[in-house]
Amino acid sequence: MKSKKRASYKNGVIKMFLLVIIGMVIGGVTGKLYFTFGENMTGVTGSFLVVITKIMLPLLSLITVITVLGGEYCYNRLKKIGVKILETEDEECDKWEYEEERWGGILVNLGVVSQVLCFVILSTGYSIRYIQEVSDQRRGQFLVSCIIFIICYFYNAIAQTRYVKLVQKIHPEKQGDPFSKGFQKEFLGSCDEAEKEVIYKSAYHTYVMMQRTIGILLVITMLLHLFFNTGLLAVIVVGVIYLVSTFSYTHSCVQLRKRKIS
Amino acid sequence: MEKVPLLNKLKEYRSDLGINQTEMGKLAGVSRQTISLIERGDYSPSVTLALKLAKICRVTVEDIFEYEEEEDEDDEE
Repeated sequence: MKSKKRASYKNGVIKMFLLVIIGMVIGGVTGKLYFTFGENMTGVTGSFLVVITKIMLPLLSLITVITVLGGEYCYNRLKKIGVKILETEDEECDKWEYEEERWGGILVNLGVVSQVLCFVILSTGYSIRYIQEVSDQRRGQFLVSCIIFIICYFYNAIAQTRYVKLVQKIHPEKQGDPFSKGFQKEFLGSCDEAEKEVIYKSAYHTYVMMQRTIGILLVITMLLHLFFNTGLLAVIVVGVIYLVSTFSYTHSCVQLRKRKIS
Repeated sequence: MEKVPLLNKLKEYRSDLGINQTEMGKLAGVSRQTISLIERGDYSPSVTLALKLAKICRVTVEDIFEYEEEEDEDDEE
């Protein structure tokens, strides 16, 4: 037992040491790249952002069209799967419920990807300086872009609500009004023990993934600020997300433990 | 989901009752999927659910579920 513990500590120290070396190598390579191509990279990034701003309107329109077409396709697939679930029994139904989960996941992820892309693209022109500096025609295009962004945003919200309603139609035991504030709580309450286990496992997996991603993002944002002076805000935002996710997790653990003793 | 050393005869008892997983789920107050997971041995139900299932099948919990002790490699060492 003791030898196992010692080996575990040894492995931990080796891993930490390797991480430090990897960090040093990444730092060295990034530094070298910056001093070799630094100015070009800033220029390329700047030009890329200018191009994105110029084609903001067609780009947002394209994303909205893809989102709507993709969303409707997924929804129709889900509707057909729902009919199969209601028609089939036992082992055959397992296969269709897996398909339901898969297409539901695709629909949700499609919505999130489209929203993130829309946010990033719109943000390239989303500044008072840009609005004041550009011509009236560009300003008009920006306004139309904002409207398309809102349409896409609302479509995603409606698509998710329709998905929840469809799930409730296929599985009538699932409760909760997607428009209400306490929807998540109500929906979780209507899940049985096995479903809750899946949700809790997925939530913990997400938390672990978030911690890793935040660590990497902190390094990236700090390096970008060091070399390209991208500003403190990005570092602060990632830092705040780090704090909120950790505090929320530990607070939830303490509260659950407290409930056990009271 | 990780495998648990809990064997069961739920499927046999359910067949004896002549009901499908959906109906069994409704009687036990869980989803069809949960019944399917239990029957495949992919999910160990809580004591409450195990008792409910036993009551529905009109047998004891031990008649449905059988715990098989796993051989611990550390103990052997």
